[in-house]
Parts: sequence; C-alpha cells; structure tokens
Amino acid sequence: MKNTSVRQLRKQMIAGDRGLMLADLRIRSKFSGGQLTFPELIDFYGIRGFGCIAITDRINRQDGLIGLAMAGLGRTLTPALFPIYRGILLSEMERAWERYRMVVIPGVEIETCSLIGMRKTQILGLGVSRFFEPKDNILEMSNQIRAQGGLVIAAQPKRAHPETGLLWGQRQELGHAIDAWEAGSGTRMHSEARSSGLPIIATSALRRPQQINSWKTILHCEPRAEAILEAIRRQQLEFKFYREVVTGSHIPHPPTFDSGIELLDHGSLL
Amino acid sequence: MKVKTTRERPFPQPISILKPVKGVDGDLRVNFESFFNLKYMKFEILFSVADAGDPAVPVIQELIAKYPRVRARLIIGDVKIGANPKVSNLVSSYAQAQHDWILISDSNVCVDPDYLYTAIEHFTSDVGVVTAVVSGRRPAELGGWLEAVFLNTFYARWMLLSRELGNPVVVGKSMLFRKSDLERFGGLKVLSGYLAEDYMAGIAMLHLKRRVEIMAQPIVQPLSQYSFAAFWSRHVRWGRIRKSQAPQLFAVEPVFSLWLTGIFGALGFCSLFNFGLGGASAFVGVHILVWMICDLLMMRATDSGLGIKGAFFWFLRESLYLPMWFHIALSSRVLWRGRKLRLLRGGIVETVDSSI
Repeated sequence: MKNTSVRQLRKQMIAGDRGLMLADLRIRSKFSGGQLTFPELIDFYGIRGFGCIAITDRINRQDGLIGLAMAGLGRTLTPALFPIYRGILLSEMERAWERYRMVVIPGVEIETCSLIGMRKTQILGLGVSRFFEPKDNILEMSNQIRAQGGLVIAAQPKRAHPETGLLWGQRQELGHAIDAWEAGSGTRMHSEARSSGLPIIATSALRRPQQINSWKTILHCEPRAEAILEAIRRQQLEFKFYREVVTGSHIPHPPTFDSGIELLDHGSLL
Repeated sequence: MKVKTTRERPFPQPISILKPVKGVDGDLRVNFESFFNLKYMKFEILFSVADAGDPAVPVIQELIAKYPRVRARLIIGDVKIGANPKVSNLVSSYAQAQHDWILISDSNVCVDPDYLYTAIEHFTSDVGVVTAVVSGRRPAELGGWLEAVFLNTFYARWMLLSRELGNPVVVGKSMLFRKSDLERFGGLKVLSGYLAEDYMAGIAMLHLKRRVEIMAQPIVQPLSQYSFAAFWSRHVRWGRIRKSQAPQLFAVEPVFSLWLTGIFGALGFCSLFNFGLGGASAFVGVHILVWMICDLLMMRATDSGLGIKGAFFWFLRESLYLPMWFHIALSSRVLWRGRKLRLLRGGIVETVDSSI
C-alpha cells in the first residue's frame, strides 16, 4: 500500500474492501497513568476512523515496594480497582461499536520489574479481560494469557533496550510462549525484529494524545475481536506510520479525515 | 459556611430519593419528616429496610400516612449482591426507582426544604455526582459532641480541601447522580464489593470524565442521641477503610495530628533556638491555641452552633486521635449494620460472619 490518507482507507473499506482496518494495539488509559479516560480514548480514536484499538492498561506486581508505589501513584491497575475498570470497559466497548463501528480489544500490559532495570520485562496480553497477578516467570504468564484466549506480545523487543533485552535475547528459548513481537513501538521500528521472520505488530504505545504520531498496524480481517486476534496470529497485516499534528495536551478533533492526517510507509519524527 | 441560595434552577428533573434504613436513632422521625417537607417539582421517596421487624418500619409507615400527597413507599427485603450491607439494602429500591436522577440519602440526616433544588443546580453536563458536607448539630451526649466537632472541623476541612485540590470525596450521606451514569461502570453490583461505596463511586465517575461537585450548603446530621460507643465504632470503621485503601497514607497520618505536629515542631524549634523544656511547652501551647482558633472558625463557618463549649470537646477529640489510630491499626475487621466484615487491600470487603 502506498502513502494514503485515512479517508482513502475508510473509502476502500466502505467500497468493499471490508478487510482493511486501522488499528492501535497498545494504549494506556488514566487507570494506569495514561492521560485520557476510557470515554476520551474511544472518541479520540473513533473520530479518526480507527477500526480497532486495544486498551492495554498496565499491571505491576503488587507485592513489592515498586508495586505499592505504582498503585499509590495510580500507575497500575490493582485487583481492587479492576471491577470498576471492567465495568467501564464493557460499556465503552459497546459504545465504541454502536457509535464508531470500532472494535475495542481488552488487554493488559504486564511489567515485572526489580530495582535492577535489566530484570524488567514487558509483555502485552491482547484479548484478556480478567485480572491476574503478574509472575516473574514468562511462561507462567503466557499460559495465563492464553488460558483466557488471549495473545502474548513481547513489548519493545529492542536488543539494546535494558527493559526488554531479556525477552529478545531469549527469543529462541521463549519463542513458543510469544505470539508476536512488537516491532514498531511509538515512532521507532525495530528493523531486526521486522526482518527476523517472527510474527510482529506495530503500536503507538500511547499514553498521551501527542503519541498518536507513531507506527500503526493495518489489519486484513473482519471487525470482530476473534478475527483480529487470528489476523495477528496469521500475520494478515501491514504497517503504516500515522502522522497528524497535535499541539499541547489538547485533544484535536479533525473535521475531516483527509486534513492533516497521513499514513506513510516510512516513519519519521515530527 | 454561608448558605448559597440562588433563584436560578437550570434544569430541575424528577428525582428518586433512596433511603436505606437500619434501626432507629433518636432523631429519625425529625430527619425523615424533613424529606416529606421538601419543596420540589417532582420527587419520590423510597425507604428500604432489610427486615420487616426493623423498629424504623412503624415510623416510616406513620409518616407515609401523614403525608399522603408525597409519593413515598416502603420496600422491605434486601438482595445480597455483595458484602456491603447498605448496597444490598438499596438494590430493590434502586430497581424500582422511577426516575433517572437518584439521590441516596442516609437516614441520619435532616435537610432544608430547598435541598433538592440546591443539589440539582450543581449539576452540569460534566458532573457525575453531587455530594455535600455534613454538619453535626445539636449534640447532647459525649459521643454527639465528639462527632459534632469532628464533622465541623477535621472532616469539613478535608472535604473542602479535596475540592480545592480538584479531587473531591463523595460522601454517602448525600449522593445525587444519574442512574444511567452509574450503569456505565456496572452500577450497584460493582459498588457492592467495596465498603466505601460512596468513595469508589466518585473514583469511577472520574474515570468516566465526570466531576464530583460539593454542594455549597451543608446538610445537617442531628446528634441529640449519639453515644461514645457509636462515635468510636464509626471512626474505627472509617479509619480501617482508609487503611485498606491507602495504607501508605494511613501510616503517616499521625504525623499530621495535633499532638505529633506540636511535639515535632517544638523539638525543631528548641534545637534551632536552643530553648529548654519551658520553651518547648510554650511552643506546644501556642501551637494548640492557633490550631484550636482555626478549627473554631471552621465550626462557625459550618453554622454548627457549637459555641465555645465545642473547644473542650475539640481538645478531647484531638487527644483521642492517637489511641484511636492504634486501635484502627490493630485489625482490618469492622462491624457494620449487624455484619462482621473484613477489609482487604484497596477497600474491597468480604463478609466474615453475617449472623450477628
């Protein structure tokens, strides 16, 4: 696909190519330190013509000092807050579909960390709607996510990155426990992961509206949660860099889809 | 606190008032009657009791008969959807409420006739809950005095401060909201898992991008029959809720109490200026005096009518704080509405024994 506008993409979808869907698969809401609430996220993506988003709020281990501090600062979902989180998620999923025909996939971003950065790993669970306590063992977490019918995504697998060096460095051993690798994260595309032949996705890792300028995944599937997860498994997807000018913390409201929004084949920092 | 009255009533809507009731306290009839005397365009009152043998039932029936022009009903029987007994008591009346606008109001508050107009005029499109500061009035017993000085000083101060900081706390004694908003996060079913259902409703509203608004006019809690035991057990319950929701903050709470701030301040003052025990005592004395004057002004602002007599009970309440804090810290169990409950981290509650 060549550089195109979101409006063209939507036109193609309406004209019959219903299998095309602009997706952002890693987003954090206010529940775990993001800037936007659920309703704001739904409207933010809905008016931009996205066909699918995955809300992946972070869950830290709750038993350590870092977990306690994160909970105190509102940077992580907690078991106590989860019933409210789930209640809002379910009603907003319904609203997103009715108002924008946008599929919302429930997910989590799991971070296991210690005071030593090298032991910190991040994985995403897509299609996960029940709370679970993160474990140090990746295989155990992978089983927990898959038991809910979800996909296990290794986040930011950049070799030099201290946060996730652990996962990428062990991709041979852990490959069977990971369904896809997050090759595109934010404005960066990890070329080694992209050319590795492993299943990959691209996300914005959005916490602030400005981060909408980032890599996105375009999915070739029906607008259903199960079909979307299957498309990721089968790699029926491609990547585009979404570019839009966003100023300050103000949430922009584009009057038309072709004004100032582009999907590029190559990413660039604005 | 000056009462803000305004003739502007932007969009009065019919309101269903839900009153969960358990037992009788001394001011129950007066409190309930104030709701029958409300002046408002359209409202209904739904009293709910868990048990037909509740001593409040005859009082409610008598008032319903006395005010036939007020649409009021008594609903008996609770539906246990979670460990919170107050929420279980509300399930039936919530389901039977005819209007989208719901006011949950505890049985121990008394309101002015224009209460509903005052409450609803705070509702704008971005508001999720309107709540109110509670002012304790007409204390007679020791427990009543202690409760009154607590409500009119510490509690009112923190309520207003939380509003100024942009994160007001919801108080279950007066919660006006839209049923349709509550349903957006799962409604009563979700709230029934928490002991502080009011506080959590406020948190949920913030995540729905809805504000919590505090009414300018405080509502009144008469305290003519309020024992020391009732005061102690209520504050231990509240303290344990705070401990379960934010253990880190609870741990440092005593540092901000009257005595510890005075002692720490005196130690710093004496080491800085080389004063002895006399200087330290003087510092503590001035510290207490300044704090008391500020709180007496706060009592005056809430129209509490406690007068200078309140100063003695203020001092007593402040001095009871540390022993109470230790009592709170000792356990995570509470006794409420006849149920023994255990608080887990984050304010989640589970029933230990419901046969009390």
